Amino acid sequence: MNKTNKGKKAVLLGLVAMLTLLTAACGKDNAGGSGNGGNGTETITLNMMHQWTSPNVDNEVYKARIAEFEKQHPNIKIKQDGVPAAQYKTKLRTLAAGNNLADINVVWPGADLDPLVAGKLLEPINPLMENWTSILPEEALSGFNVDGQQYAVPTKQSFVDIIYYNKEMFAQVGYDQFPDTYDKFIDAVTKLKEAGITPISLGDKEQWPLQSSYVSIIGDRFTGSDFLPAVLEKKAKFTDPEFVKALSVIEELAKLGAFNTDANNMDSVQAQDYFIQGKAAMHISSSTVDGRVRINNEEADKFGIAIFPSVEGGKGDPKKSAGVVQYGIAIKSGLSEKKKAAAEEFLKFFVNEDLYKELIRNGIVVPAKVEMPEDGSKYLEEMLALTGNGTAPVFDAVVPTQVVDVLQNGLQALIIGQETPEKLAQEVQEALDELN
Amino acid sequence: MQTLRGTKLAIFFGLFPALFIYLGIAIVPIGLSLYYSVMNWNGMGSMSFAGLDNYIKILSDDTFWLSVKNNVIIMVTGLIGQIPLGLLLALLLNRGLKGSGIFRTIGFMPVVISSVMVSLIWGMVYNTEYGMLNNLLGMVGLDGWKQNWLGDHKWSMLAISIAYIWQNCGLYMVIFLAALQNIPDEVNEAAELDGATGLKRTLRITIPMVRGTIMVGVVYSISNSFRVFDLIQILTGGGPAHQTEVMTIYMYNSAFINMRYGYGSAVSILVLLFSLIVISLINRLGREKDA
Amino acid sequence: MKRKSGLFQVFTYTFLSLFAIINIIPLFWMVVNSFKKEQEYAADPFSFPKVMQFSNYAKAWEVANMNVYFLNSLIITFVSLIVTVLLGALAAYFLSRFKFKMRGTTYSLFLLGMLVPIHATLIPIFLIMQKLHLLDTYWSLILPYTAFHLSLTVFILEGFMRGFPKDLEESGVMDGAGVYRIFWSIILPITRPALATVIILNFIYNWNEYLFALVLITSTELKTLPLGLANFVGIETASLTLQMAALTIALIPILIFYLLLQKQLVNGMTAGAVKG
Repeated sequence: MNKTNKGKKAVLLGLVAMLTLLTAACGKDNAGGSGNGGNGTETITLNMMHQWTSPNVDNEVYKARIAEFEKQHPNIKIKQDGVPAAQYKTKLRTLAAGNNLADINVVWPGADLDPLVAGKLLEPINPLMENWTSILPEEALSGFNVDGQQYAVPTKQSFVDIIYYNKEMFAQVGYDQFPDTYDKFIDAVTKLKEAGITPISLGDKEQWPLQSSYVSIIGDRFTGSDFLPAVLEKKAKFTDPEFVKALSVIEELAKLGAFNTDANNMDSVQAQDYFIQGKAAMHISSSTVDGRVRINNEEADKFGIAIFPSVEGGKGDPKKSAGVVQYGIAIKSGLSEKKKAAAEEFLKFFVNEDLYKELIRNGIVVPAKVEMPEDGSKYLEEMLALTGNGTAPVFDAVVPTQVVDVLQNGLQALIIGQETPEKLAQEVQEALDELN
Repeated sequence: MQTLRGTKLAIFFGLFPALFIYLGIAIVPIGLSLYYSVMNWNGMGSMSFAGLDNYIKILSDDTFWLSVKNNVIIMVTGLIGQIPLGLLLALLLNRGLKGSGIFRTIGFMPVVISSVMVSLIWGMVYNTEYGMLNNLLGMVGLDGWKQNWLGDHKWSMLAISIAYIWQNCGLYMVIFLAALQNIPDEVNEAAELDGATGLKRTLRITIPMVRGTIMVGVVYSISNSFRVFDLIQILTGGGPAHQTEVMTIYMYNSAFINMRYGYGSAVSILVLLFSLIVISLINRLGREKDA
Repeated sequence: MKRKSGLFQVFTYTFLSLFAIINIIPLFWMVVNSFKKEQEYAADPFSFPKVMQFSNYAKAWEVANMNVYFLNSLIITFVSLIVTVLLGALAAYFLSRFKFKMRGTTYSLFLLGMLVPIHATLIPIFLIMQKLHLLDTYWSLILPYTAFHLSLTVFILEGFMRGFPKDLEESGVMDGAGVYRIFWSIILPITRPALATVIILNFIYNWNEYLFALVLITSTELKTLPLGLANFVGIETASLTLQMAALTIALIPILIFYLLLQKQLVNGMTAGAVKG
């Protein structure tokens, strides 16, 4: 130990002591700053929390839109809090626990929205709705409507059940077109398997794919679209034979060896890659994925899109695709008049025809009725034609999360033969019963 | 000197700042969790008193006990893997070999990197189709040994344990190395005069000298094993079908995914309780040996 | 020590080399992949890049917003580290070298913090910071980092200091030095290997901490690096090679810090002030 060393340590100690003392004082200083942005002066600051951090096409569109708003409204500043997508809900729920949401939030419809509304954390936006009545259809808004009050408007539509398939591989086993009945579908799967091709690439590590992309639509084919609401109103049960049949389809596919062996450990992106590299004949995921599969892919023409085929004796409309609106923009309740006015101004500007058009131009499906721009992608056109014949509900957008959780875990067990469709249906029903 | 009046005051001022921050920020949340654990609360809006309902429900949930079992697996494999390996490495590196600095640095690398990276790396190792491990087995002609390491419940916890040991072993190596460095030269010299060399000296003299630190390592290893989260969350997400779920993941899912915050808080209190029980048992064992 | 048998030497080196290889290979592939195109990685994670994509690093730097987050991480990491280690060392000194009434209780209390599952404290900490009006400030991270890592710091240092011979302070007492003087010039210097250990651990934990940073900070200007590192993964899409590049960048400061400190790790008694 020499002297200079000691000197340094003394300085450090002093620094720390100072910092410790400052802690309390600093806290008070910051109290005003972070809490209320507009202190009577001209500029109003609005906090906005969103999950548009990853370098995706639609994320860029949203951010450009925010920048444009700030440019046109120099007296309103949007302070963005971009939260990584996987933890967005964790942060939203923590902030909600402290009754401390951002001024503008991105929210999900249905089961996710309900607790926020029940906790009186969001401001109804009924008076603003005439802005969108001409372009947004009723279905696009109903997920954000609770007891006649509208709480958010959606920016994006996602069809979760798109079957991307490799045309060459299907031709190889004698299918020039995607099979239009379940029997033919199973036949194709069997032949693909015999030809040494993995029929479907599935990445269910994050658990949503089997539930959202599979059960939503397969369930709808068997039960019809009125089933899930009826279950929630206790007029039907998950143990009804139609729903059990839907789960049996997944079991059958697993037994046929339709999925890659590590389906439970791949994440959805890995499964996409697997399909895109030609290691599997099909991949079932959301319409957003088309950006990677076809729109930005040089070998796009190898791939086709389809929806799940009709099933025998099914009560559902075989043309329907399961869709959900996403990224509802909502305003926090209890804002000051000035901030509320600014937030409403933002909402009107952010979610309008221009945004939808810009998204379409980038190949994103939107919930609004806007014209397809001339330079729009032909793939998007095909997607819109495929999904434009009626929309089935998406399971986790309607059913409470606790129940979804039971189904998702059960599905993972189902595809490795540790669960039966009957038992799973019963567990899901029990989870629902327990909530009430 | 312990009885001097000035000393008492010095003790107070020495402990106060640490205790102040610690009690305010680390202990109060435990109290709050205890409070929420007897409440029905979804994290938003109003809550209602639930008594011990949450605890009763947790203790009668099979999934919870599965997660406890997995925690025990991590704890035991962690203890068996990390402590002896860490000690062995520390002993070897303490001999002043050429290049020991490099080995020390490389040995410590896994501790330094974030869990995200560890999980990405081990995901690459265990991948069924193109993973390093299955590739390696294929190369040496052991195709029959290839496994779906993370998907098959026979292997998944073991696979996770190995990744866990890999990630933390270097930490114990460094802690033990620090302790070995503090053994005075005189002790070694005296031992040498007595004719104690090599393995004998290591077992009879060196290891007893660092027993205290080994206990520190054991307790830290246990407490860590009960809190493991990131590694498993990213590697398997606790799946397939809860097979690799540990208590912290069970807690997180209850509180933040299923929005049963009261229930989740009760789980966290149980985690605390379980680790306390194990650690006090270990401490008692350690003390008995002392006597 | 001077009479090393050749066979033992061979065994030692083989064992250590094997260990080193197991540790380094995965990291090696990580760095290799960080130079690949996304498609190349997707096609085969174990191929070498056809063309080195240095631009990955520039892009990763930008997406992870490292211009801002890097400095924030450094500030928060260091301030928490200094506060934790100083307060922790002081507490460990009194807990290990003195007898007083509440000693056992205080020690157990500190131990408790090592057992709390961190996720359980998320909402409570958020509510506390809200009450203190500290949300969205550096302090909202520095305080929890300090508080939670004090446990480990006290625990390791106490374990070390307790092992020192009882007569260590006597010469100091003879000279008439106060307890703080003894702490500073006798105890601390010989605790150096353990101090280095806890300093490195604190650095690593603070540098990599994600969850508190996620919920307690909302301003872009105050966010830390781990938040930026998560920016590469969306729900249905991900840019893994960019993420690996970002992770590699984030690794560099810890490595430098470790290399700077590692001499201290092995300079125990020999360099300390105490000899006999």
